Amino acid sequence: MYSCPGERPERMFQRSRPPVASFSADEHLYIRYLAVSWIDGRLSHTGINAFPNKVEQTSVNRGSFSEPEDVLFSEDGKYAKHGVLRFQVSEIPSPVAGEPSSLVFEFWPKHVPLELNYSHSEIWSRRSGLTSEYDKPPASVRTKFRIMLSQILTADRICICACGH
Amino acid sequence: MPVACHAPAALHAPLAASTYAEEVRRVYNSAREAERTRLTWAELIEARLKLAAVEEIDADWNGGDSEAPNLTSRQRARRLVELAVRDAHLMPSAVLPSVEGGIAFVFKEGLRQGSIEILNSGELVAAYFDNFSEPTVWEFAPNDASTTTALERIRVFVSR
Repeated sequence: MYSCPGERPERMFQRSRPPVASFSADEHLYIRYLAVSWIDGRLSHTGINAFPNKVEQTSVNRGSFSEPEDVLFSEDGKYAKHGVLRFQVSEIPSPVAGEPSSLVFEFWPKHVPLELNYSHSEIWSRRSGLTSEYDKPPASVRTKFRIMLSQILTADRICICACGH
Repeated sequence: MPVACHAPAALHAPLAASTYAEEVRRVYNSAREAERTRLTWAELIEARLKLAAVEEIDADWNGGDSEAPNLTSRQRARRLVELAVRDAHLMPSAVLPSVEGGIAFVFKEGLRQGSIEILNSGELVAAYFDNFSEPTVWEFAPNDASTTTALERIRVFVSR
């Protein structure tokens, strides 16, 4: 069970380090989850912390610059009940077709360092064939993305168990 | 002369076999229907309790990343419970908060699963899938007819 350290690990501070655009296919990404979303040995897609509506993008920590527990660190302990799951960059569902099937979106990781969390990254999306920097997917694509990710996130992908799990 | 001597012969004749069987069947079907109604009510109460637990979730349930269900989501979810359990005879395996803000219903039968998410944004999304194949996902309108259709599609899939 995770116990939040008293101080932020040194590796989490950005300290002027620039973002690193490239991700290797087998690089781990860490994402939070809650025990309430675990049903019959699998994580319900409704609990995958993708597209949480208070933050625009899906946040993950990239494994190259972090340990799994870093994604739970918070001075106010707000993630104390969360657990951590891992998946590889190559496992990001992409492309994902919504309804109608011509509505296709691509997903990819982007390193977006924060001053207090250098490994912070996001999963960005864009409608296939367009050159925009970012397009928010419609609900059907977002749900399908989460379902496809939940099909990967089985119990063996747990790095840190959520409270109550 | 006693009145009984003039009673119709049929009153004294034993019940015909077909009439007895029909009567037994009628009573049996009535009892089954009563039991079905009792079970439906039990399931409805159970589903309502699951929904009530989600409605009472803390505002910062997801570390502040997600909203708790808003009034519209809660009202639509209550209607969905009635349509699912009472009309579609589909009992939700779980009722959960959605990370996108809203309420999610999960219907599981072995490896097959269906879901309906009622989002705070007003979007309604239904899906069905198993652990291996590409999911089927669609959005639908916030009315009883569309909701009933979504439930029926899910029911057909999970009960295959």
